[in-house]
Amino acid sequence: MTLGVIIGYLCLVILVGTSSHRLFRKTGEDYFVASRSIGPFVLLMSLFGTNMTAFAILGASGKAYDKGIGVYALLASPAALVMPAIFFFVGTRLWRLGKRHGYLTQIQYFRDRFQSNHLGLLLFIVLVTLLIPYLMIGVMGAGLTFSQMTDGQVPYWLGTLIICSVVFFYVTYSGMRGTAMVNTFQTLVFMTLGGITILIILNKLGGLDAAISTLAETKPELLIRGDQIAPLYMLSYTMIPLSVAMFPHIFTHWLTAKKASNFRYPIIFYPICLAIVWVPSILLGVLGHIDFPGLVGPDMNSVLVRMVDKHAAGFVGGLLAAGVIAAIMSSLDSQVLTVGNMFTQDIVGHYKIGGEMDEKRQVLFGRLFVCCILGIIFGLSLVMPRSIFKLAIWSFSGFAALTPLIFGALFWKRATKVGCYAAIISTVLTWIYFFSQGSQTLGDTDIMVVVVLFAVSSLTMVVGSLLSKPPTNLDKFFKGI
Amino acid sequence: MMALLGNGNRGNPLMALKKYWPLGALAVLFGLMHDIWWWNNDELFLGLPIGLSYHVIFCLLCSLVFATIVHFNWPFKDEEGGEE
Repeated sequence: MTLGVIIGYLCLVILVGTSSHRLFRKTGEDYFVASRSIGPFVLLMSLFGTNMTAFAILGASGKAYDKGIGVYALLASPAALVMPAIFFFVGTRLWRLGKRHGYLTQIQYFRDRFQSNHLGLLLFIVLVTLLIPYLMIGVMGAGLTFSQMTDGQVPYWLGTLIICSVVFFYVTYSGMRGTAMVNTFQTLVFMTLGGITILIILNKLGGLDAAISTLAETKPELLIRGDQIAPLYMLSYTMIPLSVAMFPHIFTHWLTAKKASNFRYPIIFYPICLAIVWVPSILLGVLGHIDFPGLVGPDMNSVLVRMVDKHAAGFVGGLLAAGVIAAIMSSLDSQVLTVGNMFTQDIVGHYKIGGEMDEKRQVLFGRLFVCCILGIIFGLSLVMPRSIFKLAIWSFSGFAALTPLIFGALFWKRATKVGCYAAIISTVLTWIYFFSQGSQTLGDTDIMVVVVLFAVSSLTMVVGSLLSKPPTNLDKFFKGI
Repeated sequence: MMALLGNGNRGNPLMALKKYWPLGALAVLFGLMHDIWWWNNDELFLGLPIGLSYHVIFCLLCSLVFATIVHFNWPFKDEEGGEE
């Protein structure tokens, strides 16, 4: 029954995704940014859905299982403050520049702003490398969910293959418009089903008061932040959501807006959407101790799925599992499409590989790259370790460390390509160093590595810029923006 | 700082306040987010541990502040993306 419901849901997703194909205008701009025609509600849903990955749904509940309710303050609250601010200060400006100058990717903007082809190529390599672990989080989360919810009937590898295939189908067929529509549908699904899930499970546990009382007797430390989350750790964690300013897939979604005022919905309602999704996720994580005590390591990430499976098997369980899969796919599709867009525009189109890039070839290459990327991600998901949360934090830390580039490009006329090179290279070196050390905090302190990465990147950006000559085309990027 | 909120109205304190209050509001929210005063408090509020319910309310407050910023300080005059 559960498997049947999930498969039925996936068919519905394909139907929603492919139904928007009738609006397809067969141009690169339509395939990659939906001809910049997206309205405020779809923009909100697609931005939110894209940011809510397996990290939020599975990783956060796993983290809450380990660290308690403080995980909400650690992850959701900074996002509620920082992300809408990024949409307001950065997103709206990039949208205007994108519309004015016809950009389809982040790299095109940076190349133009700093008049440097090689800078674009370097940034392309770094951004795609950082995006790969983020992409894998989704695919791996999907495999885990399938395997858990069907009691192994659908093995991990097959679950990941099914999700990759569904995403491949509607992304290649309908491009960004289909992706935005599916994101909207799936975001509504997982927001609704998250609420239903927590109500059903709390009911089975005897109500919220009873469940909290039971937990207070066995694991009282999970109901406070206490020693599980240090104040300095939380303070430094605030830098992680800055990463949204450099996510290539978020940049692409910004470009899809029809007008600047469409950003008002995401700016205002994003924090509320976060609360709707994260409260059930965190509660189910901590209450998982009642039914599944003693989970360790990557097994903690499956606590939410285990709770759903135990308390809501059959039809309802299938629906709830579909909600988790919805959250995963709503991120994966945008990310894959964006990487395909970057390969098409920034490599094949920019370097004119195989000749001039007409509209038909843009769409063709976009589809081919989506296919290749999904294949690579599927292969990697079979051989990589499965600690979802740790993978995500390293990826986010790298993106957050690169944000001085976008802040400099948008707000500082004195920023130069030398400054950008210095920031990117210093980020790569410090990131590799800390990654090889294996710890996400500095030595014995509770300060996250991202603070150092960001500080080094900012410093090198400023010094590099001040020691070199600024570009000459500033009016293009600052006049009237 | 000027670049962040567009060209300011130099010399007029009231206009400057209107222009820059969002940065102040975001700084206050940042302070409120780091609620060390609830760190070890295990009381329940609205049925949830207070360390959780406080942050749910914090998210709603963020939404309210951003709605106010968007209403009073929207930087674009032309919705199609022309003039600031």
